[in-house]
Amino acid sequence: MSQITLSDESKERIIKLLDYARTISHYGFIPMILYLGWSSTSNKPNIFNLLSPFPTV
Amino acid sequence: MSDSNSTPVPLTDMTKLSIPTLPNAVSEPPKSNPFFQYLNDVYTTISEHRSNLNLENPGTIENLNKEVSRDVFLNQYFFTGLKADLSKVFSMSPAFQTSHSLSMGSQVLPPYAFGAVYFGDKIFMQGNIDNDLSFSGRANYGWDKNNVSKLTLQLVNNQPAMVQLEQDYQSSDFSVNFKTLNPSILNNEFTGVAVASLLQSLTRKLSVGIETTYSKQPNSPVPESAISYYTRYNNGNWIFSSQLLAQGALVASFWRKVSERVEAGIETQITASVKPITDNLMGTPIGFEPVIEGETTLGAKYEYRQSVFRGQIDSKGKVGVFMEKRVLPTVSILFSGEIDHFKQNSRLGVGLQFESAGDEKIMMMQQGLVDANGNPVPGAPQVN
Repeated sequence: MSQITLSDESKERIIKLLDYARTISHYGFIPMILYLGWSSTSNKPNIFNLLSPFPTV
Repeated sequence: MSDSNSTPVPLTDMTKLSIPTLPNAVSEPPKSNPFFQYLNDVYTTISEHRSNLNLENPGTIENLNKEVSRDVFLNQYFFTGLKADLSKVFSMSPAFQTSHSLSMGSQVLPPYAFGAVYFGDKIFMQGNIDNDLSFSGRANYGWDKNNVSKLTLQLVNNQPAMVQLEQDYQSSDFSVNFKTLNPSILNNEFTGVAVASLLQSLTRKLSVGIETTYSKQPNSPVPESAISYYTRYNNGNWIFSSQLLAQGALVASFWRKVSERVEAGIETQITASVKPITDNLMGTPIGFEPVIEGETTLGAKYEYRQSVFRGQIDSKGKVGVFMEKRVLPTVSILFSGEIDHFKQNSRLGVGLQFESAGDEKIMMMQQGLVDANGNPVPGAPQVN
């Protein structure tokens, strides 16, 4: 297989970027789902209702 | 004005004007290039022949023995200890719900986990995070009805991330899937796992598939590759599937719909592996011997209006049951138990599932008072 060479500098930069992407998806994925879902509901519940397990009607 | 040619053609019917520059007006492709004409003819003949076979999409390799291993057997459902799931539905279309799961005395389930699911027209997203902040998530994006891109993530603090990218294409008579696990080019070459698979319908019932895997780990000197073969025969009320896996295993499974509410499945797995032989006195390896092991599991599923029963028995002496019963419109109880007769031990799990609503209409639907369109169910008590 042909070698793909990257300079150490760009490698470091990519690793740093991947690290940021990891943190963002770790803590941003579920808020993103909650936002997508929230925007599709008809009654737009507040954040407490969204996170509480009890019925809020 | 008596001349019929001068009657104005309606603007919506532009194609009837037969202007050569309009795409619909060209009835036949230009025959200027015999080579492309020939290719075109061959393509048309093949696609006509294909559509004459009336083939159906065979499903995916991932779901090859889904009916047995996921629907009938307990694998997906079995749990130990105590658990409670509190899910809350906010919207039905697109589906959106959150869940809080509590668990005690289980080695696998975390004490607390929060999950959210969104299922829209094109986007499917699911995420789960537990009390250790371990995260797992899936996201699918459907480009059209045949093409789906998938992303699977598993992120645990202080552990390497698991990322899987997948592309699914389902045609009228075949499915292809490309996926890659932890791809990286930072080690000056491709590392990670790459898998390509194809499942093709040969007749309306029979389909065959092949899957190739290429894997290169950063610390291993040589890459590994493997080929697996699959076949599936779907006869409506029974399905047979077999897999010849590259790691030396043959899996055959058979599923049958016994009656409207009863399904049964059997799966046999034969594994061939190489085991090192150690010297009795010194404990040092002196050679290798081939080992062939087999295991058969037989299971059944009874599905009633308010409850689902699953039971299975396997050739290693394990008997397991899983029961799910709806005691109230929004409350179900779960029971799972397993006895290992050969090893003389047992496992037990008891759970509760609560469904609640974040919306008045959904709450009335869960209580069985209105149907999905908001109309009152006949016979249900009246509410204001």
